[in-house]
Amino acid sequence: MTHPTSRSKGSGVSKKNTKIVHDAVSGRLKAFYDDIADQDVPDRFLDLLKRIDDAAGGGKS
Amino acid sequence: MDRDDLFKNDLLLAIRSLRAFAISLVGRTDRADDLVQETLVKAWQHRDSFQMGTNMGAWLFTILRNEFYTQIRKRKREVEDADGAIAAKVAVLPAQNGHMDLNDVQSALLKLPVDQRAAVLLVSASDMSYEEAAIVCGVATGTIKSRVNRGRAKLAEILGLQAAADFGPDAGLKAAFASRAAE
Repeated sequence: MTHPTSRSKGSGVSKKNTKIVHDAVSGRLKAFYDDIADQDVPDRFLDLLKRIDDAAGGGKS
Repeated sequence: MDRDDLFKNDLLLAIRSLRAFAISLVGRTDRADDLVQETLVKAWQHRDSFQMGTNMGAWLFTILRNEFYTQIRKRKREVEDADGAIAAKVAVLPAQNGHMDLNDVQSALLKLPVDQRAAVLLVSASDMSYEEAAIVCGVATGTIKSRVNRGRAKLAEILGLQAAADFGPDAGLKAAFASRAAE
């Protein structure tokens, strides 16, 4: 009685559903995230790297 | 190229992914870019403590995440007062995108507690392993797993992907449809 078949079957289905939902969420998140990652790097960061020794308060090199 | 040049080059290559993490974590491009800037400067200041050849992405994400939490603590009152206001100010993506559903994802993310938001973004969006995400967040792997699970479940609910699973045998089809319709 500890492992009734109906319960295992039920949890199997719900496990599958959980995975489907997880995948759907991950897909949406990834599309959103990749869309940002595909943006061009703003000039401020290219400028920053050029003068990063000053920005960091004097470099060690 | 000397070590500093190589390091700088690696920083340059990491900016896109740092911005993706920062913007999706913070919800505002201006604040997120300030955070990325502070991260790059901090990384540069501590470049001697980074072991070349190891995972720079995880190292930079750790700095960014720590910096973000420091800011949250500083702004705690402001954040609590303005929770709704921040969600309302979501204006993350350039207009040329025209992807309404991406803004839905952003506002859904902002409804999650920051711990869950960070965990979900690291594992589900940036493809980090649970172990790497645990290092970035400074917690145990099991903690990350439970944050990811709770965060994903909450996102599913907010985005309306939850209900599809409750319909039975054709749930897969419905969830797939719900997801596709939103793309």
